[in-house]
Amino acid sequence: MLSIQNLHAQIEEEEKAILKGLNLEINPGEVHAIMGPNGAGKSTLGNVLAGKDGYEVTEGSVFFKGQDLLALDVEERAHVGLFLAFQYPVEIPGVQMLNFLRTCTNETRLARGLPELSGMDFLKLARAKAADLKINPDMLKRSVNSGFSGGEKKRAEILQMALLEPQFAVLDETDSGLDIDALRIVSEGVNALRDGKRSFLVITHYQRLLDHIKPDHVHVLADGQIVRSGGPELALELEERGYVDYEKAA
Amino acid sequence: MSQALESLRQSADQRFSSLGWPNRRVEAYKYSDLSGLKQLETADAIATPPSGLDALTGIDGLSLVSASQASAELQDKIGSLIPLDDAVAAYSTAHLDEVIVLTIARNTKIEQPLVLDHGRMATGSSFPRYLVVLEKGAEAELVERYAANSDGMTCPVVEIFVEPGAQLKHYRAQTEAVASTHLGWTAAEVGRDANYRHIALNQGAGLARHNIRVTLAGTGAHVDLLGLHLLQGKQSCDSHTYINHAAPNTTSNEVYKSVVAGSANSIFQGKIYVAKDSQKIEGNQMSRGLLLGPRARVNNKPELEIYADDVICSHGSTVGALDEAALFYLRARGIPADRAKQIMVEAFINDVLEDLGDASELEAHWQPVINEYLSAVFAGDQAD
Amino acid sequence: MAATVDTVERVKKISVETYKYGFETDVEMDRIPKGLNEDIVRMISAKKNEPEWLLDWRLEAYRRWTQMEEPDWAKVSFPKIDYNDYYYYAAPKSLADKPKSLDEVDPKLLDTYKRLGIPLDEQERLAGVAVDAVFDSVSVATTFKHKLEEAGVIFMPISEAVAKHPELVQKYLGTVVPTTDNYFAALNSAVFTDGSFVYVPKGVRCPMELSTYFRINAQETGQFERTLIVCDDDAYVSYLEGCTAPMRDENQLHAAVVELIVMDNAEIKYSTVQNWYPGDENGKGGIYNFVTKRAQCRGVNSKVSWTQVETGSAVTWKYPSCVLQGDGSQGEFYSIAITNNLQQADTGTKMIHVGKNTRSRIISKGISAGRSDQTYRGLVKMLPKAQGARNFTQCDSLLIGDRCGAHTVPYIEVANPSAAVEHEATTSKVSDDQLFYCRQRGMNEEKALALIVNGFVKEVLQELPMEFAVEAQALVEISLEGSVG
Repeated sequence: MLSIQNLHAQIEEEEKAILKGLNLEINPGEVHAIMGPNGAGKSTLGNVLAGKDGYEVTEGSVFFKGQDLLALDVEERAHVGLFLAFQYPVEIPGVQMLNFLRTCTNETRLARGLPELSGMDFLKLARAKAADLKINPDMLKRSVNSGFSGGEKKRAEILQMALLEPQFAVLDETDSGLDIDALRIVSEGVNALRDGKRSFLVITHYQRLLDHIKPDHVHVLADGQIVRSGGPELALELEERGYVDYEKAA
Repeated sequence: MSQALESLRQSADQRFSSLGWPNRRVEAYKYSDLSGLKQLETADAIATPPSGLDALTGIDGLSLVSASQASAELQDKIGSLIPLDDAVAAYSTAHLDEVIVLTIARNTKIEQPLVLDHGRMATGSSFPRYLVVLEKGAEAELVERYAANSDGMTCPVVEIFVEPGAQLKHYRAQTEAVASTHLGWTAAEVGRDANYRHIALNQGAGLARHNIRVTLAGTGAHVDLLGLHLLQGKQSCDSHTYINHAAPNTTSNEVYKSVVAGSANSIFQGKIYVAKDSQKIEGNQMSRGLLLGPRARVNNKPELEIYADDVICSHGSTVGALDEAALFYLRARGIPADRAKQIMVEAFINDVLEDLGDASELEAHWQPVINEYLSAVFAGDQAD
Repeated sequence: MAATVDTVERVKKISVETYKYGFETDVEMDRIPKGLNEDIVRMISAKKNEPEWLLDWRLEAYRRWTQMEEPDWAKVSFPKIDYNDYYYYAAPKSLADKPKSLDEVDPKLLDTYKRLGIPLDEQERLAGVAVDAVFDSVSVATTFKHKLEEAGVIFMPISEAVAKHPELVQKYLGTVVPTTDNYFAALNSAVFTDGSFVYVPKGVRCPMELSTYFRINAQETGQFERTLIVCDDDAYVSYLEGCTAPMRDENQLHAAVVELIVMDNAEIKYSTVQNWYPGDENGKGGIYNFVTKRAQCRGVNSKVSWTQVETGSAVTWKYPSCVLQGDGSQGEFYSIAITNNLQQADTGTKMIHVGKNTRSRIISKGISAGRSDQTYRGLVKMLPKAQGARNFTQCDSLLIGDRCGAHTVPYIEVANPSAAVEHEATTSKVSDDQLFYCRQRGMNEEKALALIVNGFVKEVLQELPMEFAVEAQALVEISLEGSVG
């Protein structure tokens, strides 16, 4: 589904290399976890996959379902089925969540050759999905992420994922800023979307998220490269030993 | 006086003759009517050489000379930062006499504060004038103090060049007697990655006006402008600031706070200007007025003038009395009303001073002024 | 940045193409000669069959005007206006005999309003909204007159009110904005032609929205309307004005005066959707919009709320204000201003707190694009007797493209220690993070921008009466269509 080969990327302005030859293969239905010390390039990977401005790919390739992902615009990547759950979801004051979700959903549907949903149909759908995720439907009336608690923001991300039905989702430090109950609820939401076909890339610093979202593969990212891969047991090992073995020799 | 300075003086004189003292119809003086200053024009110009200059001799990396001894290049900088279309700048410059030039050599850090202490002890007008140049990478602390015990005028002009990578901390305290009129100018040009921090205490003079103009001329330049007005009686004090983001990637931070007792009038006019093509700018300004006296007044005019789009600029301005709820809380804990008020005013003031660290100038010279002000205001003799 | 250049190009193209009100109506006009002098003032007064007092009032204003100077403090610049190069009165000939009913009105005129989305005939008129349609210097028709009369509400062209309710007009005209208030107000007082008069008697809640639709049609003609709304004790009215003009290469002059008077516990909600022709992408043509709007909250607990959506005009000079005299009175100002191409707008408000416990609230959202320049200019003044008065101001500017300007000039004058003023202002561009977030969720950049901008102005849009909020939202989107590359 996703094939990353020898990916090199830098921050445009600073010309500072962050990813230095990253390789990763993800098959349909798989859940991969990427762990690593701070500054290893974990969030850069998510941003580069989603096409955020300010990053420059200097070498390597990313193919998504056989398509050159790097040639697509941000929104086109979303349309072909890539979803990024943000570490810090952005607040958009004055824009009602429902309106935002409907615009996202309909733009994506149009791009996928599906008819737009009417206001009424969409409202029903959004309410149903929110109920599935145990989200208070009042959230739909509020401004996008404005004044949301950390847990609400992350839940809103999962709701968006449920509506947009991506084939591949990157969860960027989804556990950050969540207490244990919020973590459980968000994880349940993610697990509900694991249908054997959809793939996930879970970026995290801590193992605790992986207690809830069980990965098939775990990778260690350090200094812009995957330096070790293994099964879920690798995460436990990291939890015990920390990242000392992988920190850059300063 | 050199030919160049003489011609600067003359053109300023001509400028002032045509401008005259501004009245309220001149936008920049909307809240400070200077048209009544005519009678002071004839007052004798008196020299008030700063005390303490001797202490500055023999410091490594510091050159202190009068303009006539300075290089042509330095002489050219005199008058280059203040606009003569401002009446106060023109008036001061028209009386230009002695100019003291301080230069801090490249990459030198001077530990000892450079103190320019002015006390005008006689009626008349004084026109202190300085050029301060921090060469590349230099670091220094400049202290200006203005006191006066009689009527008359003090019209200081200080022009400052903070060259690339240099850092200047600048304390300016004006504590003249209320009989005095203080019309000051501070103008600074801040170069690439240089840092200028100006902290002003305005407690004195019956009529005070302080113009500050900072040009952020190189990328990475930063300025902090911090100011206090502590006013009582019939004082009127006007701080007029202008920060020009003339280069990309420059940042500014400005906080002015006024405590206004009696029937005093506090005026703050502050503009943040972002030139075309000055992208990636961050400029923040806050002006706050605290009204204590029954006829106290605050006139604030914060202003943004922006011609580039990649900017984050903001200003906030609040004017009001002490927070009743907080006052009640303190009194409910057994603190008498006046003491409670004083505590809150101190807190309001300290907000500006607290992140200035352990500057000896604050401790030794500002704190007594602040204390004296507070005890005057809360001693109950502020009937009007 | 290539994207920005492209943006500016596209904005240019679209704003000119999307000015869908730029057509001209071909009707035979009755005009008085070009130019401005006492005879012209007399002629206008004669055309309107005005009483002596009003002519004297006009002449006095005219004489004072000749001694005044055009204000130059606003941050706008335009070539010197030759006031003798305008026509000060232009009316469709067919209206000379005052049509008794819509059947007698020239169908071309009715069609004009229909094309503007303001049908005047019985079958199609907007439900719940009474409309006074002003075409150049005269009113074409006023709808729902009878229904309003039943409620006791007077809503008619001001020239008709001068004839029918002279005592009311004489009592209030010029009491809020004196003839010599400013240059443009003096000009308006001398030559005003039509506009609306509203009187809502004590205790009456006006049963429907009142609306005036201003249309400048004739060439080289100035429009000088005068609106006077009086809301007596415990009364309420919501009033909306809309404005459009044909696309022309010359600049046209519009200098209006609006006076609002609010008595005890009464409320006026005044909304404006201003979409005068803004000129073309090179700044050619467009309306000079110099407007004086002021409300006097004379009564205790009275309230005025100004809401404006300003997207048109080449040059705007406008500061709807509130004089809060009555104790406990309230003033509100909600504004969206969008400038594009070479438009210039200097707009804001004045809140003058005179009475005790008066309250004011200012929410201003400015968006500058293209090569335009926009200034928020505001005054909050707390007079010595304004015990316990409060103001809150939030003033945000958004910049689109790197060739426009956004300026904020608030004046805060406080002379009562128990008064409190809180002012906040920000200027920024649309955040890259917000755009990225929306695009990651599948929106293209244009859609994302429209969504974010709509969020930016939401607080003000929701202040508009329902019937017009949708139209205003569409206007916001049109004005910014194509703003990203």
